[in-house]
Amino acid sequence: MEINRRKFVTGSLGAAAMLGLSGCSSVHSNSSDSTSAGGSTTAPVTAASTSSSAGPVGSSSAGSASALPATAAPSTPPPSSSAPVKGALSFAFWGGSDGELKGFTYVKQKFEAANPGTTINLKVVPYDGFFAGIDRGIQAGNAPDVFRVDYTSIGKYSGKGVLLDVSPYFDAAAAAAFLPALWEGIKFNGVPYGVPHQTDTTCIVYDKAAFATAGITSVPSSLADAWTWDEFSQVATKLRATLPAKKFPFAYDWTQAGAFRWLSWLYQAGGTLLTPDLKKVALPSDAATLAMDYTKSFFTNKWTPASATIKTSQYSDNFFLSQIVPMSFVGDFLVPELADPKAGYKGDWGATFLPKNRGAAADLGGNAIVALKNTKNPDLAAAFLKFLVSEDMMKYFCEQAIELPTLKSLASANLNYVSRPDVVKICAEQASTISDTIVRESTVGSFATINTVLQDQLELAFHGKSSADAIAGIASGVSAALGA
Amino acid sequence: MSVTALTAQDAAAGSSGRAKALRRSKRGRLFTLRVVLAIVITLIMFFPIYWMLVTAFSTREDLYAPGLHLVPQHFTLDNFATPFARFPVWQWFKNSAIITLLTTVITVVVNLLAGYAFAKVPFRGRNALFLILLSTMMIPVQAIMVPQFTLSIGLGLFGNIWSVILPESAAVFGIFLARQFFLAIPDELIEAARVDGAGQFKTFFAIVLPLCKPLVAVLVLLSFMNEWNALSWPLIALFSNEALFTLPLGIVTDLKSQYTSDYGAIMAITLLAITPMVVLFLSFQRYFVQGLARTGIK
Amino acid sequence: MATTRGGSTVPVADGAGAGTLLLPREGGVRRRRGSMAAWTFLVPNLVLVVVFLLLPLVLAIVISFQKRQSLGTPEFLGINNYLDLFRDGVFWRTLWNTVLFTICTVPVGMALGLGIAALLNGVLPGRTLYRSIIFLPLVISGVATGVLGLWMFDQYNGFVNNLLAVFGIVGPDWQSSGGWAMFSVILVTLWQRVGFDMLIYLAGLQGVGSDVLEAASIDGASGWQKFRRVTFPLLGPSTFFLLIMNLIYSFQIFDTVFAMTAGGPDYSTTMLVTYAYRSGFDEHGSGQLGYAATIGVIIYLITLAITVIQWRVNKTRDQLG
Repeated sequence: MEINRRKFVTGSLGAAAMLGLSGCSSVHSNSSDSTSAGGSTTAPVTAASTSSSAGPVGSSSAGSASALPATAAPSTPPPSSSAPVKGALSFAFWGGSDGELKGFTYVKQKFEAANPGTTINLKVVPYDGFFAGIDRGIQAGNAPDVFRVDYTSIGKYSGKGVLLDVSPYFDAAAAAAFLPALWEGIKFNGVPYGVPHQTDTTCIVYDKAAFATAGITSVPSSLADAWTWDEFSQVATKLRATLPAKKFPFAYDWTQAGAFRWLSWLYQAGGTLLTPDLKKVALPSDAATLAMDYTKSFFTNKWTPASATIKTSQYSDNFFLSQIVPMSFVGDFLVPELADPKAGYKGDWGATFLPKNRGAAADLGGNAIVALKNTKNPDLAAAFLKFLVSEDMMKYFCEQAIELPTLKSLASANLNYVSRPDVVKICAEQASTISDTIVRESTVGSFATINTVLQDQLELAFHGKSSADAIAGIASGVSAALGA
Repeated sequence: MSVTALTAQDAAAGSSGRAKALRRSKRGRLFTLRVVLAIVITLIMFFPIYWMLVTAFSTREDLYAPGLHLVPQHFTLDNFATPFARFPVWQWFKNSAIITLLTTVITVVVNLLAGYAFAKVPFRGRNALFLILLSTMMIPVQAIMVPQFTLSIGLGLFGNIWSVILPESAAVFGIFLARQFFLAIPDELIEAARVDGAGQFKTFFAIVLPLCKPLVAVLVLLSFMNEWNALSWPLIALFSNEALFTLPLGIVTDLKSQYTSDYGAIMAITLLAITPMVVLFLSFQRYFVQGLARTGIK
Repeated sequence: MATTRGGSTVPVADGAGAGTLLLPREGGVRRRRGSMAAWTFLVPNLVLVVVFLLLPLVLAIVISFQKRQSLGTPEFLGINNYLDLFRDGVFWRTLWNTVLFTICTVPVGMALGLGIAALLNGVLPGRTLYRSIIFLPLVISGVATGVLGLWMFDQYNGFVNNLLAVFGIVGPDWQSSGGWAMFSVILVTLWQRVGFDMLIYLAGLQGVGSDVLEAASIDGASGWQKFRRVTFPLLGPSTFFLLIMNLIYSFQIFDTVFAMTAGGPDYSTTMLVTYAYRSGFDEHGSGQLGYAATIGVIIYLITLAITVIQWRVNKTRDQLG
């Protein structure tokens, strides 16, 4: 089944979906691009054709908006745009799902085929501990040449000057092919380090039978109808009433490095983490108190398993998969896992939008791919980066991994998602609520440290620390991180 | 040197009690109580391993179904198939085997040599050196993991299996064990060999070593166990690539973080991981018992 | 120390530093002749120990005076890491956790081990089988024990809570409540370690001659009195050996905790060694290698203190005996 993302994208808030991202962030964008200024809903088409001619590896993509077969094999092997490259390259990533693994393996094979004499050594590393391992490799001088990094962690590496400056390889036109906010996300002090590879965000998945049992008959099917916090509370209360003591209404995906996803509640409450100039912390605030009180109540109301806090080894999808919760906040990259016929969710499940309060908001998920500054073969590394984000490769990857592309051309294209396109539709629409502010705050250089602060303080808050104290703790921790 | 040899003595101890007819009924009851208690304790101790087996062969639905199911309701091998398809589990087995075997060989050889020197070859500073070595016996890897890390970078080892094999071969407990064993070998035997014109090395390899099969067995088994089970240092040294993982590393990072709810898969691979140790233990129990009792090293 | 007591050569409580620790010096010519050979025998092991144990110990002290992060170059920091450490609430908490864990595992484990040993001592059908099974957990890795413990104590689907539910008891929150999490780690550790205690005590009990007990019986001592007044004192060396070994083991517990709770919830089950690892190498830690080295130095000092006590006591006893 095909999804034309434009159909649902254009209907929603202003410059919607991922275009919304671009629309908002072009305000602070330094790039010369202005094709997707806020409010415009027709930009994608032009963007698509622009990007295909200026596309990184010049792949044949103009026709990609039309129906492609589900296998999505590139119609022609993308020729290498620069001088032929040779040599070996190591590429480290975590395989978040079988879909991602499949996507990366496919890119490796295609790249090796397109560039005879090159070898890409894939190094799969578990997500938990991935960056600690990268750091060790950098110290030891045997870090992978190319690795995957999420937008919230990239600042740690670009700030330390260990990443390859890709500006020689991406001219203004090539840079303009990306959704501007995401291209901004991989910059540090105006210099791009790496390429934005995909994005994802959180949506709600739920068990239809459990909802029926609890008497929840209507579930929002459009962003405009998304539950308010109050409505969400009612849903949770209904579920609580019909579930046994050992089960809980829902789990949230703030586990470990996902702690920053708590900020979605803050944004929904109308608050921000940082001041507009990103220099200072904007806490404490009423919105923060509101968000903290509300999220703390998940535990006191027994809406959430007591072990579904930050520092736990159980992620929100695990609680859903093991049927401890009939509803869960999950990133769309987990959809292949949930949809797996054998190991996936046992039961009929659907998806809906995040709740909203004073506004709607979602987290900036997704990853960039970066190369090491001292890689032996920067040209090869850059060529591989370009290849990864070439239209055909990105399309195939996103379709397998159920994730959202970062190229403007693909944002408006038909992607043949291999599983549960209905869920992708929700997530894509939800992505339009990732505001300019959210993107800017999530990609500040010290965000990795800020995330650690959030992990510590939220863990304490969910174990009983008062909202005021927790917020004060976050404020002082974030201040220290910004100052460092 | 064997524990099994003790049974005869126990029997003597048991029967030599004054088993008078008067007290027989009380004794009988006591005896029954002891047997029952022993069986109960044994069952409790064995149950977790049994539960691992049950879990490994159960479907996920059954594992999360309410109530107690003491036997697999629907027997399945999926728990083995899924992780094997998703992760390089065979590679982990291979890595564990290679690292463990190499570490064991190096450790045992160098410990035997050193233990012999400390026991039978007098030299200046022997006692002082022995004390220094013993003082390093109890250093936990966490105390020195940071310098070990910088050191293995400096030596250019970091990121390959030698960064695990060499530091883990720097074991001292074997010296202690070997020295104790060699001390029990009569000096006369060695002197005789020397009189016949054998050098220190010839004496060691031709005369002493052949007498040491039990010692070698203990050392090999203990080293093997330590390395097969090791987590701490491999966790730091081998994390850069799934293909370099050992079994404990794969279980605790890959399986546990990706499959936190899939205990069937975790238990299945854990079961495979402990099988070699269990088999070795059951086959060479008395050597394990001796070695562990002497060193306390686990 | 008496490894050959009771006519058996079963190792009785023979820790480091025991018995024939120091050999008499031998004289002149023979020693010099032996020296070359001795060093040849020793060199392989010495090289490994010096490079991978002693040198790191020295380096640990050096690094503990540095600000060394997971990325970037190290800077000299003086004693600031130590000052930070003493001001670090988490450090004290993990130290307390470690002490608590040690207090809860060592005496209980030894008492259980002694009880089982007393039970299995003497004629009993199937004795060898019981002993093997009780001993078996000891050869299984800490990781396997940890993940098994995690699964059995899972607060929603685990065996323990399911079993309690059969009796109508709502099982505790093994994962989300710090106290219960600690308790579960202690139980799992006891399961793994009790076989060791049993083994050493079994060997020790062989050394308690039946003639002594006979004599006590004739004097009219009850079973408990015999145990209290005769057997237990005679087990002194075993008890001491176990005490030291268990102290060190419990103090250094890492694998089981890492696999089972990863130190959580919050820092409830984070031990000193876990904290050192977390500070230096864990993704969710601070990536401060210098700080981790500082904790490492503290760990080493505590270990050293235990070892020194052990040597002292052994020495005294050797002199007495």
